[in-house]
Amino acid sequence: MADYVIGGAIALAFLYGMKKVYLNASGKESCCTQGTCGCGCSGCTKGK
Amino acid sequence: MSTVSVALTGNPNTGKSTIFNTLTGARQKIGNWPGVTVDKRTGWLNYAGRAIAVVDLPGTYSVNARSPEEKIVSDFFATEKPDFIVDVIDSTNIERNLFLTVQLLERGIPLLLALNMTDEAEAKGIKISRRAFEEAVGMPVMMTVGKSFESMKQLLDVFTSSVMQTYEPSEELKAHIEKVEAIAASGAKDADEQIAAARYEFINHVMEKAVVYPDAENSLSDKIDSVLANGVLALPILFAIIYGVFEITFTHIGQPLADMLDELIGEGLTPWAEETLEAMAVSPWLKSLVVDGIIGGVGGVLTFVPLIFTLFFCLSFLDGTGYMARVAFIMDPIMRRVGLSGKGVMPLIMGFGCAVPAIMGARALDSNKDRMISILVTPFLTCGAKLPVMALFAAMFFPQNAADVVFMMYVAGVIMAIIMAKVLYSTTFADEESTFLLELPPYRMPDMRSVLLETWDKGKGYLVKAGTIIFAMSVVIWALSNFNMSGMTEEMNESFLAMLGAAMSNLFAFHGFATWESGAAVLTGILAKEAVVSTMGILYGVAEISTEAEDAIETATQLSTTMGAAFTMASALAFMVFSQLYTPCVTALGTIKKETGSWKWVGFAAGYTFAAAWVVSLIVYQVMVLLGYNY
Repeated sequence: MADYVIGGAIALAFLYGMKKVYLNASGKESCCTQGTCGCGCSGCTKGK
Repeated sequence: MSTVSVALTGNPNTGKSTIFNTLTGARQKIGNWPGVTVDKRTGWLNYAGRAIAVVDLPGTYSVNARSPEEKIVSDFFATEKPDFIVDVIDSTNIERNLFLTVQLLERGIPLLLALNMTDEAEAKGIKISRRAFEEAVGMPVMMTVGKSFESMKQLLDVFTSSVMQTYEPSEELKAHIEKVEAIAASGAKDADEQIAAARYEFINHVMEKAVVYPDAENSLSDKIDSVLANGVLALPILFAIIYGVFEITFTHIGQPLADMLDELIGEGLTPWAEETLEAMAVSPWLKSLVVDGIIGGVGGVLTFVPLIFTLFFCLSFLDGTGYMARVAFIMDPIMRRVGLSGKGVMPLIMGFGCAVPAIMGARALDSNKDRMISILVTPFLTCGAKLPVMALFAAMFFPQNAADVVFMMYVAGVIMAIIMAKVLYSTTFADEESTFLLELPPYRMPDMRSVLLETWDKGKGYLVKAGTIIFAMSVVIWALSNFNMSGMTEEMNESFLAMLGAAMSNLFAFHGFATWESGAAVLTGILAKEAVVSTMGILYGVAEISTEAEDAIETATQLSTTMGAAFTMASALAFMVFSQLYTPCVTALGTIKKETGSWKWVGFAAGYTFAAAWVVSLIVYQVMVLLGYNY
């Protein structure tokens, strides 16, 4: 049971992380590591 | 509860953002204005039973819609009708600030004039009569100090009042507007000049009625600038300040905190996770995934959070003092020699945080040449994600001089960027001209609240990335390092990652780090630079190793069986140089595609940085070997 719960949680977090990788690499979302312009998500095109 | 909408407008450097931060605190959201990469800052608060929504418009000098910022402000006032439009004016520079004010008033926009930084004006001996100001313009005037809560409370009292309804433009302002409309209707060739002259005439009228300047004398900022920004000492002082920032980050504050966190993860979290997972009777592979993969990978990256936040705090503090604007000025002669203007320094400084906003920030540059060169050389700079790589190797292989070595890496990145800018200028973009106009704000004591908020803004992205992208990368790296064609393997040397890394490592036969582990780290580093460290963390288990110089014996013992065995001082330095200069991460490449609109430039940026890194790293290794540091 613990395998499924922990494994499932990791799988979900993994998919979310991979989605971020895809969005960043494709230029659809440029949430950067950090910046000097108040950049939590500078250049983010989400919700445009 | 009814909502009051407030818009803050004004010139850059008037303390607008400080007012915004003091009013809204952490209740703010940073997004984008539609169609452009200019930050849209919105915030909200409750006061006296009213909800107040505040938008911080970009700082502009006019509403001529020439720059993206001006267009945003112009479009905003054409379409939005907020209850209060606060025109934030720098009280030490009223005359210039009023040029924007007059333009807005000409459009019939009612303004609440906030004469900000009145404490600085007072210190300079500038006397302002609020009543005379109100009479001259016909709009309500507030005297404010952006970082003062008392001052902000007075603003909030106004926001929840009906004060705007009792004001109307002064007779002088009405006459000015009629005059401007008549000039515009006349269709005269020199209408623009005539309108500008009329504006200054009205501004002079306001100044004469309401403002008294002290006898001309050098301001404190001018005196400081005569040392910090001019003459032979400017550059050495700049380097000394940056070096001081590194000492604070890597020796005095950031590193000790990082060591504590490292210990907490290595000696607290890891054993706890192991025991808990054993108690829950999870499968051995899952335990390995959590402990070796996720804690090893993400934990290895998280260890560097104190360094990142310390560095960004220092840079935000310097920015708050007004010194960072001087850096562009000081660097202008050097930048000119490589064909760029001093203005190009600003996006490059952003590159020390992250290449992505730096590449986007290049939009502010005037010519296409400046923009392209800036975009192409930015990846050479040490972004926050490369910092952990530098910090890890410096602490392990150069423990006595860690700060100096990391500082050298930063300098190496800057020198490489300058050299490549010169090469690109002389070859690819030789035929275009550029200009440079820069405003130097006065020196001031930074508002700590704004500095801390800015530090958090810059640093939180690192935390978010650790929890998302690095998490996913760590799972992939763990899987690749624990599986091969026959399934799960105990031997990492036979894993998929070993195969991929070994293929990559062939390129580094003469660099001293031709191991499959290094090859794998280089590969994963293209996905995200932090992944270099998380890969090392998983492959060598360094997340559990203390980097305290005092624990030399223990550290040396552990290192001899892990990374220490794989690198010498020469190959470690060569690997650091390679990591510093090679192909930017996919996020940066995606941004280059978006900004240049061309896959050709993406390919060029990826390829030429790799080639440059390969060559420089090879030279560094061979020179180090010749000097006898190959141990």
